[in-house]
Amino acid sequence: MTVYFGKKAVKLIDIIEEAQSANVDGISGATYSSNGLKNAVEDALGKASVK
Amino acid sequence: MKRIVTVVVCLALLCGCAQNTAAERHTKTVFAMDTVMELSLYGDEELLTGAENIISDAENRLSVTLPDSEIYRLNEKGHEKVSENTYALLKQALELCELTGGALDISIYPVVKAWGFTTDEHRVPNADVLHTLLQSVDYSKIDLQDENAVLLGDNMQIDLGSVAKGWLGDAILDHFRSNGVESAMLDLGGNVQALGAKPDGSPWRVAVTDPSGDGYAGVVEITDKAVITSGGYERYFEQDGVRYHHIIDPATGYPANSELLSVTVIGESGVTCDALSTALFVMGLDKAADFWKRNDGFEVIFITDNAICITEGLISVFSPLGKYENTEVVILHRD
Repeated sequence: MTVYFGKKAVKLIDIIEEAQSANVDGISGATYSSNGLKNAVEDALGKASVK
Repeated sequence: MKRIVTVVVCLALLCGCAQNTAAERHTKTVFAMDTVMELSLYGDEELLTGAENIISDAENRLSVTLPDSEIYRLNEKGHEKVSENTYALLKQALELCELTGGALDISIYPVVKAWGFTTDEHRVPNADVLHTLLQSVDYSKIDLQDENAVLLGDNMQIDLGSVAKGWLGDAILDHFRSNGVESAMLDLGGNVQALGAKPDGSPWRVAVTDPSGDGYAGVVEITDKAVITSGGYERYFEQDGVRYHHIIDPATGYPANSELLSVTVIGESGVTCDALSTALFVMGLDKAADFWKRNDGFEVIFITDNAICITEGLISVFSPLGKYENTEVVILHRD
């Protein structure tokens, strides 16, 4: 079984950059989970520390 | 005469500048209701603290997991005397359940729990288990009594997750508006709600997430509106090659199964848009389009894998983007 935490959480930084470039004031989307965001950040930190 | 005109223009410019400095932009990020909330307003920064209090008060009353919340106690005991605000939201939620013919049902919570969406321990429940749980799913058995007393049906548990953030957005913007703010923008975990227009008078540009890829499916320009999206693409799991998302159809107990990838509802009331985005997603495109034709006061963006369908009120304010830029946008008309 694979569990996904949502692309918004994983790609938050990409999305913020894209929002700036596309000149929008807000992004409406399905609700993302802050748990997902936390896990994505922890994953990223874990990967960074392995390197 | 020319000099007078120049002086008037200069004064106008000066006034413009003075107004801009008075309404400075302030922002705040709040983690609540298991999501991330971004608040921004042009005006008094102190109002953001008030907004934070509104958020924590709502979470403390409405959470299904905090053992001291009104909803938690109601679910545990089957009856509870709740606060004025919670009672009013329950009343509104039940009206929306009724309006949507049960496509929205706040008593679906035990089924959502069985799928593990509340704890991230996902599983496909046994069909017998679902059948039993569905026996107690029926919003019409929720009894709102005198003096804010609420009585649930047998074995019933409720969750206001499908309306709470919309209600919260309305409450925060009311707080800003009544304190003189003319321009504010909220993103409550993907629910966008705007007060007024941007400080320069132009409409807010709100992107709609592309549910099937990265980036945006389009941009809608709005003033004083909520833009609220439901879709199965943020919270889901896969088992044996099948994808299961978190929006459960109260009629079947399984994830709503239609061609829709996302539904975005645009209107003045956050709580209505929040409820309708879920209900229209559950209905599927055909029934949802009929529902829109029979009801006023909101516009919709439906997104499927290869098409975008918008209601006629959005024609002049919506532009498709990304992979949808070169596909035809279908327009729904009221007959």
